Amino acid sequence: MILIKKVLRTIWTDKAPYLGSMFLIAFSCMLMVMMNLVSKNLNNTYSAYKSNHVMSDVEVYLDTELDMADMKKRFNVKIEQSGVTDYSSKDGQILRIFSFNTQINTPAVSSGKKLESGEILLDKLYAKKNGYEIGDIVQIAGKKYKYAGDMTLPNYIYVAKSKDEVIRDPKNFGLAVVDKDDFESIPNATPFYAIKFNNSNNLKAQETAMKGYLREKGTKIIKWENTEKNYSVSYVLVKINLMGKLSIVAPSMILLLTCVLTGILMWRLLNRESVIIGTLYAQGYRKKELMRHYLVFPLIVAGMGAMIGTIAGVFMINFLYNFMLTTFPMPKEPIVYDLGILMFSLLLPVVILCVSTIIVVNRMFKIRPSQLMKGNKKNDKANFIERKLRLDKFKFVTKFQIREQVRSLSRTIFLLFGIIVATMFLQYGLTMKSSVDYLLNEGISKLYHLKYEYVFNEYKRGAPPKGTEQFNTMYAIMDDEAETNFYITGLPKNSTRILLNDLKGNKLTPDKVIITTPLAKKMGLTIGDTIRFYNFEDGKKYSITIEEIADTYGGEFIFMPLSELNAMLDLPSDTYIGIFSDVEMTFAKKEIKTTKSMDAIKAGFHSLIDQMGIMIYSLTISAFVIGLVIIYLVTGLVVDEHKGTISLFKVLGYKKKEINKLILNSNIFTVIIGYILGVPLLVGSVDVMYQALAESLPMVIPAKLNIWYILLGFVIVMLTFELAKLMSRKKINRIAMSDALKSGTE
Amino acid sequence: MFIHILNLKKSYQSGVVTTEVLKGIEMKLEKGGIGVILGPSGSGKSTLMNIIGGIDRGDSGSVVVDGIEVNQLDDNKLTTYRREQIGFVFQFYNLVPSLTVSENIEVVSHISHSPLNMDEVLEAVGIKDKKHRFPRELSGGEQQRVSIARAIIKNPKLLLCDEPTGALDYSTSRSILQLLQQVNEKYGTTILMITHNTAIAAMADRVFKLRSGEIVAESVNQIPVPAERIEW
Repeated sequence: MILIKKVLRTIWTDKAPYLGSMFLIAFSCMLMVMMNLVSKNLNNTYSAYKSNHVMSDVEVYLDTELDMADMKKRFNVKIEQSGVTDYSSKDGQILRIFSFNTQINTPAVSSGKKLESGEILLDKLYAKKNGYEIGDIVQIAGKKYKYAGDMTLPNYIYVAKSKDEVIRDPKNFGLAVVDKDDFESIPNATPFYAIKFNNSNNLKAQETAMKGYLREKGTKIIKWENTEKNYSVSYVLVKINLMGKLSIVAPSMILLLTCVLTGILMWRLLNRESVIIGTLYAQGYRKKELMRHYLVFPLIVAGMGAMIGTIAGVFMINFLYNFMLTTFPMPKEPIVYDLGILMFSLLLPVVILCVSTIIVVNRMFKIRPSQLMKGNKKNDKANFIERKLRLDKFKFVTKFQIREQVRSLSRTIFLLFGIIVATMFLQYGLTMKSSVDYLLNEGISKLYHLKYEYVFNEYKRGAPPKGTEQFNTMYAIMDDEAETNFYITGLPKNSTRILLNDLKGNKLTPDKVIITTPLAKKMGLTIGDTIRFYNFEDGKKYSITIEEIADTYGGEFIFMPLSELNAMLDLPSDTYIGIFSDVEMTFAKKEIKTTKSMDAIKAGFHSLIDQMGIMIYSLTISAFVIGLVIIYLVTGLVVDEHKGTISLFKVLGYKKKEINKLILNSNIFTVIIGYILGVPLLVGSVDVMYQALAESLPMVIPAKLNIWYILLGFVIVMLTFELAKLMSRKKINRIAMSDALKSGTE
Repeated sequence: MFIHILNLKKSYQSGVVTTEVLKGIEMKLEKGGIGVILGPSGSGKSTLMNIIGGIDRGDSGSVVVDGIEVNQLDDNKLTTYRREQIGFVFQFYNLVPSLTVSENIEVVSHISHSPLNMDEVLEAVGIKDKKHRFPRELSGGEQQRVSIARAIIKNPKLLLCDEPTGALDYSTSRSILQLLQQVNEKYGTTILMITHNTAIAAMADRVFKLRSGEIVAESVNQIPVPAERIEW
């Protein structure tokens, strides 16, 4: 068909907007394919890992040995006794050593050979960061082990030292597995039981029954950890799910942008070609034939864009999948290229763009051919907003720019939406950084005035060591669906280590029951509410009434006077379980249950911020490119739509600078409003995301965006705007004065 | 002489073909006068007016307007010349559709050193009550009035009108011509008009007939006819 040549020529003559649309489609398809398939493949990998290496349902720490045969029979479970210990291999370096399990949580050996007596398996990144080569000797507690290979553990996928330290630090923390016999020779090991229920239905009820039975038997449960709720596993699941969700949200926003853009392009094209359409109509062309012709535009743009983006996405899958497996080590599975997603990515933009084109073309077909042949001037009508605007008090330049924005609402909405999307991309990483900064500075540093926290295995009584402050804790579990748990900490009434403020900023002293904001939010509590909960240790039910809410994001706690907590637990009033200290202290290993270093926690946050660097830079560059494409396209549209006006201005004696100011600056208000709207929208979205993450993170992170980052983002957006303007100047310079003389704009 | 053109030549190159559009035009018009250029399509009227208005340049010859040698001006000076000396009225009005009547006039007053009073001009062209309307909401005649108001707001020395009644009906055309005559009288503006309509020549002081790039006839009206008496 001869008309196809016309399509190709039209696209070639007016390349920028079509190429821009193609770029946006390609980008969204690439994101969709890459993130969706990686998320799906990671899910498959996780499921395969869970099943092939028999991931435990729970890990149970008890004060006595378990009659495993009786438990297996009674509860229809698999049980394997295991053990773990932290060994300080070098200065402050911790190697967490597990015994080699053969039934549950079996290690996956990724390189090297099967483990034998006198050998050790290490986690790959730890070995790499510390310069270990397979075959090297690793010394543990005076005994030499041969480094036999690399392994990963299904119950310890994200290798962070603890929930509190948030981020993994392979230089200073790693995992190791040794043979069960060898493990027995390592001192200070803690035994635990890995349990897998044979019936995977209603696990919670099965767990409750088992806990009840153990308590009935007088067995003390030191720790009961649901493996999938354990930070090292739950964090992986949250990240995979988040990627899955983002794989829908981010491309959808860009695709929607492209639809609006294509709609505008088509409307503009049809307006420009209304005479041709009218003539073809008059010559006997049918609507169907003309529709087919105009559908070639979105087919070419969306088809090419979707194909390029889908292929690019497929190429990127391997890279992203491997990168994710470095962060969350699991045995690699063959990548599955879900045909459904690939087809979806290829067809969705084509369908959406074709539908929007059909809508636009149908609107044009409603106009009579005779009207079309005269050139459709319908668009020159002033809309409702234009008619209502009274701008007498403004300067001419401002009037002109405001009028331009309300003239083409679809164009303005496209630009506004585009800037909002670009702003959200731009500020996404910076918001995460700001939030962590805020948490660190306003949350942790303002709440905790201590350097170390030591928790003992047994209660102590009397005065704490000099220079320290004592506390007691109760691990409380709510009898709700989510089994919400938190610590209730008893503090001396004159505590100087934990400093709290109320929501108005007034200082609070721990002589009342005080709940932290994140926990109050999570549980929907306010002052005066009474909560009932179980003490995890003894299974007894208690209740307390909230008296104050503390404005801190330092964690999910309830603080109360130490004496009152002790009275509640039926303990002497001078009892304590731990101390806060400013100096590092040494205790007998048996005496200490946990040690927490505030510096290590802060360092964890700092490395989290450092690791965000790459993400922030890549998001900033993406946002810059998207923003530039959108602003350039809209500026191009403005210039095209104003060819006559620009030409007229030239005839009337306007200088280049004056024309540029009037035409190119007309979008400045929309760009600024888009940015202003984009910031709170992003912070709101990140807040929602953090709520989802709160399940796996040790604390609720407040979504914050530093004022300096807001200003920096603004500068970047304005620079993008200036660059787009610079690129459009040539277009304005090319418009001849004769254009105004040849045809009237009205 | 306000306009003095000597041996003006202009040709356009299109591939290997050269078309001579103006072949040595000689023309004079006194200050405050009304000149009409008559001629068929392709006779070179628009090219001649573009050169006088500083939109285009002649290849050779001299074009002096109020003592300024227009043909010798560089781009910047031509812009200043158009900005300060010339008012344009177009056949299809060339109004900015997104601006109201008063804002369309501001397009010019905004860049003028000493523009006339907006209300006075709106009053003079008879559209004061329509200052907040958009072009689309006006009739053709009213739009041309806005176009004239826009042209005269800067009080130009020369008003160039390109077929100002070409898109209008008979009675509207007459009212527009009347308006142009009033502007000429009230502000002393020199007007040069191009038209197909030979009847309009009656209202001019001087009439130039152009054919194939040459002035084939030039006449002077000792007593120009008032526009309201022109009929065709």
